[in-house]
Amino acid sequence: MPAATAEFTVENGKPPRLVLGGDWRIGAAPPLPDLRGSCGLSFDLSAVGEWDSSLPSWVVRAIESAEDAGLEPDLKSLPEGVAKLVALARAVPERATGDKGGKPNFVERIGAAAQGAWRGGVSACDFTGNAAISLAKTLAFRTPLRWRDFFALIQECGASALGIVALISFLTGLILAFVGAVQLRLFGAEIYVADLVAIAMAREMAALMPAIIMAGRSGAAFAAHLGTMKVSEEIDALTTFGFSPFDLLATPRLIALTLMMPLLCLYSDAIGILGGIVIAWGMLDLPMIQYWNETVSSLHPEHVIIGVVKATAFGLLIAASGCYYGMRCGSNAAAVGRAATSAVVAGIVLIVIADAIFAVLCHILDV
Amino acid sequence: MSDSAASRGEAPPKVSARHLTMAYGDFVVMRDLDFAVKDEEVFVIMGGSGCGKSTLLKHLIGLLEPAEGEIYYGERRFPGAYGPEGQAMLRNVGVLYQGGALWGERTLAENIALPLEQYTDLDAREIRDLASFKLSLVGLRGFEDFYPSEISGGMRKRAGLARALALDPEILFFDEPSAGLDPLSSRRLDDLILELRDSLGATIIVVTHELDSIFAIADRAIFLDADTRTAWAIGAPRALADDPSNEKVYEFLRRGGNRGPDAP
Repeated sequence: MPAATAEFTVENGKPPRLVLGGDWRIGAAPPLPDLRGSCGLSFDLSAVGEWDSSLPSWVVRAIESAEDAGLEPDLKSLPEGVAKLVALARAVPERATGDKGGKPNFVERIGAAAQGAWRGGVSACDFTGNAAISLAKTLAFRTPLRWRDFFALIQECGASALGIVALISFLTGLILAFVGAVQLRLFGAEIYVADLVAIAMAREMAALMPAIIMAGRSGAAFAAHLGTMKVSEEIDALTTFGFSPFDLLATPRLIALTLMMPLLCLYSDAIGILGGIVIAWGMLDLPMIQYWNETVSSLHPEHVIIGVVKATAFGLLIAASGCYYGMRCGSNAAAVGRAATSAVVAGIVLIVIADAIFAVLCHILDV
Repeated sequence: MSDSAASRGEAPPKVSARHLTMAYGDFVVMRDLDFAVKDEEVFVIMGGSGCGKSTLLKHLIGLLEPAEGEIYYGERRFPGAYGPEGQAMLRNVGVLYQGGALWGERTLAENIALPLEQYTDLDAREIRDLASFKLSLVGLRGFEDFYPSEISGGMRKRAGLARALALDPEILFFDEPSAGLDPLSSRRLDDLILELRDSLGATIIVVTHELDSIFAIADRAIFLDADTRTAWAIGAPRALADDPSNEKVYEFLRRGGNRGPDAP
């Protein structure tokens, strides 16, 4: 097929003409000729073969550049099909929105970010206050808990998570024992692997690892669920029926995860110690009864209690971050994704910050 | 306004907006809206796409806070949906949301039962019967135990209407009731709206841009204009359609061609 051509011809006594020819395909349009210094413009498209939208868009650009050069193009010289498309493209005036100014400069961006952070802080306080009131009312039996919803949540936050928590806890115990064994063997103190695994699991890992898993599981699920309810106006429907979304949605989730996390922590303790036993038995040739005795003697109740208290706090933080991001979700599908992501990230950050605070507190209280 | 209405011996308006200005942050959507919806009236909020119809609806049911001005239900100022006082006033209000907004983890019967459980002393049997009755009103008898995800969009909308009727509200709001429905279903919904007004004596406020619906159901309509950001006209749609002096509304209402007011 012949390539697209565009030629600018000037004959005496006639207005200058743009003579186009060949087949016009997207990506193969010739460059615009220089129209300056001409006096008027008409088109000759008689030699054009097949064409797609590259032709009218080229013609529109030619007309605009001719008009910029102060010429008056003769649109009647265009064949009917092209003329209609060109007329259509030029008919819709650019809408004067006026609202979208230029890109904000550096200072404006800082200002906008600061305002955003302030609003975020205010809405987080607002959420915390409302959730606390709703939680207090529910715990005082002034607002009823809907048991069927609540048990479904308990199952989702507890029983359904047992498998993954077991796997992660077992591996955590295994890793702790393995790392400890390699070091302690240098001193002939392999038996203290039992102390290491038991105390590390009870105080730290059995709270931290399930919390991180639940942030990814339940925190994200809460945010996505509530966010979708927001998008489909289900939360608005609750509000106009006089239900508080906090009573019906946030509080059951807060209670369910806060109740389930300590149980998951105890479960994780047991499985993690089992992981340690496997290493001691398979790698260190320690008699299992000796390992067990060492574990029992090293593991004081306060270690377990610290872990359980931490896990409870983590559960509350994860559920709060999931519900907060879900309830302030925007009104489209992308916003739901952002809400779930933010819930997980904020949940994990909160967990680690809380863990650091607990570490300092434990040090001060000397437990 | 209410004082003058009372002095003229008329019933006070059911819902009224007084100098209502709506804004998202600094962006003004509509300014200085002033209208009153009378008792047992079908009042339509119309206007082009994106002019703020649904935003106005959300202000009327208190989900958004007016930038300026007030909303009155009867003689009482409506303080918004988020306080105890406003929630008590909303007990008399039913809302049909655009997509139905049914609660996804509950069956249709449970959707209708939830407000009944909250606000009545009925036992489970009576609540179930009432839910079945409301569903049969909208032609969904036998769908009590279906989840919203198991039925079509049109059925969800009707189920949403059944839920809006749960507490026998005096005021019903409809957000784009015929959007996404085929012409026949949308006509049935229009008939249903009129029937509800006649049988329940409800005051009905509808957001729509469907000309068919506007002419079929509206006693009066308010026309919102996105360019001037204010109400362009209030009145009976047929009167507005016959009044060429108000060019924009005239054009809007006439654009339907043969579907307009002169259609059989």
